[in-house]
Amino acid sequence: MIKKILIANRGEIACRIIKACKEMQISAVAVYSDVDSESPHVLMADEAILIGPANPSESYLDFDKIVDAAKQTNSDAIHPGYGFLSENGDFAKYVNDSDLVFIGPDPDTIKLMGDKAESKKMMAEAGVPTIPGNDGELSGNVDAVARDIGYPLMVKAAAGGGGKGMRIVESPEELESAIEAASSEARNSFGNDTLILEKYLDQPRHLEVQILGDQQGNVIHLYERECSIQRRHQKIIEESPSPAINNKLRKMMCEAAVKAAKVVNYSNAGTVEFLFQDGKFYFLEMNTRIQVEHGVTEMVCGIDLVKWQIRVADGEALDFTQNDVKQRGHSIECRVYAEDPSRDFLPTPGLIRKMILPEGSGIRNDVGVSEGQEVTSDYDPLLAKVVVWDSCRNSAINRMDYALSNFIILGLITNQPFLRDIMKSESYRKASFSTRFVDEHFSDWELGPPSPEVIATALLASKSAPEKVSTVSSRDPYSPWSNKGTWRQNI
Amino acid sequence: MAETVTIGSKSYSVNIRRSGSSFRLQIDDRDYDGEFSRLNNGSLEIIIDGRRSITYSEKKLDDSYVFADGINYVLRRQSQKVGSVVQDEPREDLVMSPITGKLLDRKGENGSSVREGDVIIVLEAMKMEHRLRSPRDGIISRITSIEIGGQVKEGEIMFELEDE
Repeated sequence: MIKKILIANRGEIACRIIKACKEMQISAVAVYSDVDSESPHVLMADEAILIGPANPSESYLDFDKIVDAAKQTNSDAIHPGYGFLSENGDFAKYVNDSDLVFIGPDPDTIKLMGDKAESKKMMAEAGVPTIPGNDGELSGNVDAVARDIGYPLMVKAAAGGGGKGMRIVESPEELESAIEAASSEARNSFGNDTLILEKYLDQPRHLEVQILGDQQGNVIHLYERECSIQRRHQKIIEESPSPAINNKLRKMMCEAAVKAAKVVNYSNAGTVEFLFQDGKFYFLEMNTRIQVEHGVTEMVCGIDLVKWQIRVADGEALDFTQNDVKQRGHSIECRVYAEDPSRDFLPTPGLIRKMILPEGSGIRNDVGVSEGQEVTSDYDPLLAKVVVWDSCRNSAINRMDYALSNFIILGLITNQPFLRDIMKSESYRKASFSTRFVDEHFSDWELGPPSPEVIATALLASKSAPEKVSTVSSRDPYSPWSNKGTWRQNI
Repeated sequence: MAETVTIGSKSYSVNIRRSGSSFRLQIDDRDYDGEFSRLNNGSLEIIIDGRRSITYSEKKLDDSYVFADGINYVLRRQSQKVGSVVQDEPREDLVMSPITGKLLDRKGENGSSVREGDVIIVLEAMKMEHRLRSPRDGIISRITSIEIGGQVKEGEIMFELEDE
């Protein structure tokens, strides 16, 4: 019986997991690095253990420090969140071997799906459609392999994910430098520079299916998410359902995802990612963890994925069947990042001097930062996720724009204005987009001209401003301040 | 005194004159008359041409952070001095770090001959790699001495080129 969980993560996902623990009357243990001592996940948890310096390899990625912290606090289980150690099969095994429950699938499943080349081969054999490309490790005459697949093609890290170690190659001349760059990034990010080549789809949509399995062998899907709005191969806006597919395609894709999960005896929450173009979908990869964008699925299906991750890891069977899962209404997520969309999405660390979150029916904020917190360059620039729900896509877009327009965050540059402009754009509303959406419609994006109120606020804020006075209060008619005819140079 | 306010890549010449709760704001060649007051929660109520906005702001050195009209802005402020050049022309020979982050690699040293497009510096911030390339052919006359793995600040000089 799981009574205490250590969360081996930080930021919004650690907070999200702690909330689920609290609702389930499970104790939550946070771990943190030097720079995170006052981060929200540390303050929210029942206990918090310092595990090392900011550098992730000495803290959030250190097997021993995390397992020791779990032992020291008598935790029963470890939830890895996403990123960090969440898809590290060796870590999952180490956790299990230490008599702790790893909240996720079996270590062997993680390892298998983490090998993009191996998992693709396995899916093809199981009859799940895959993208044409080389099946194994890249070796021998690479030019010839590339010629066979045809340009444009994609070089990507076999161990990859999240857009790292990935390059698009338009012509044979670019191949060598792309391979070099991808393998160096792969080596640095994943400690493994094995690459695969595959056909590059030029106008694909990125769709994915949420899977949930228990240890009794039940696997169900919770429908799809549309994740085509990306920058630098990383998602910024997701929604469910996808406006791109009809019910027939939806059924086919969701069934293919369940088939993919069953092939590997999948238990716990996972996501099968597909590329979709010209009415066809292709298996891309399976993510063996909770996804950043799980919230939109929770909104339309009414099922708490994180709680089910914990229950399933504890041996509970799903208490509902596929037929019980309905996709209701429409949900959208916007990721608020510390980055500058007008400067190639460069990260923009800084101190959060003020933060006020939007409120209202159908608005959910998953936040990992708080007012007064320094956002450092040590970690991912994700600050918060705004998730909305409404009865249809158009209403959900309006609700999202409303929510974003009430998201106040001062002290650093964020992509909030950029997200608002996307919500207001005709191209997003029409929904006929691909993963190239940002490049095609927003590559030269700049903040629009400010209204006079913006400039006035900046210039007036530093001066001592008068308190608001009620209109009935008497004013001295002889005061120089009440003489509106003459203007006084501001001091 | 007039000052220059920069938002993104655009600059505006602005000036404000105040009288009690009234103000006259000049942005480039346009004038706006308004009223303002500070509310108890620290926000400002601003009325310009009968339109009312509740705005928030924070300040750090020359940067002002303003929330108004549902948008979070960052404004850089510079006072205008008569006869002075507001901004130096960017120099092509000098490559500065566009971000605050970690130095991952340095592919050259003082005196190294480089070609346009060569990767000279590799930085990492928020899990992303950023490669700084040589803007032209030349010789590295100066390169950062920060050790690999060390912290780099935005705007810090990474390397400088001279002619071959």
